[in-house]
Amino acid sequence: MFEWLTLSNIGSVASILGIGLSLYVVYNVREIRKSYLFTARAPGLLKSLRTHSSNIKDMLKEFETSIEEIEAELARCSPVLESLRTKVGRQERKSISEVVQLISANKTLSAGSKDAVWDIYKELLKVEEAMINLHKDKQWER
Amino acid sequence: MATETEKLIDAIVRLIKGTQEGKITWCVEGPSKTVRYIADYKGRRLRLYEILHSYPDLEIIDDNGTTLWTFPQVSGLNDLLSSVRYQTADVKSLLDDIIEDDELEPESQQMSHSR
Repeated sequence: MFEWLTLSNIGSVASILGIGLSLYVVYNVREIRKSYLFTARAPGLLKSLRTHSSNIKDMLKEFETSIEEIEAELARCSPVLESLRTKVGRQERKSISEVVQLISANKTLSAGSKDAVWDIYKELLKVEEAMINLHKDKQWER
Repeated sequence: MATETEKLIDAIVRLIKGTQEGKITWCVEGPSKTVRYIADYKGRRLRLYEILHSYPDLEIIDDNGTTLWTFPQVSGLNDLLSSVRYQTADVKSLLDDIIEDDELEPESQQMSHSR
């Protein structure tokens, strides 16, 4: 019955368990690192995102004459969003990616793009809200 | 499916858009310590005012000014307040007036015009 219970087999099972445990530790260390990075960087990134989205909202008052400035402001949002994306979980990453895609689809604006810019602004607010809530949650995790 | 927070943000963005496009008109409520703004929207009355170190409060009120419901604090309320201030202070027409005022034209420009 216990014929398989040789030192060699026990060693093999221990090795497999060791690999599993190592992967689990590596994953957790990555998550902890990401969490600390997010906690440290989120306030600055959120402030920057707030400024950009508020500027976009202001420029929408005179959309036709502000197209170039809006394009520039949208371009400034992308690296902030990319930076946030690398520091959050899968669910938040997905919603950030959607906004990044929306921005890249509207890199060049025309007189008819006003509604598209309003949509981007709305999505930026949603990301901002999700990040604020995540940041509050992370402070309880410490 | 949109969450409750997403629906609130959608609604606030529509209010900002309506305010900036002049479809929703806000006015300043009578004298009080904090400046409060009132707008009528489809038979309902909205009140918006700033709270120090926090998001502004957006409320649905009745004819007597009693609060019926307060919107939860979500992103976009600060932007709504800034759009409402811009509208009630009539900033756009002030800027137009200043730009069109010949008396305020810089001297260098006046000289180039006279040449």
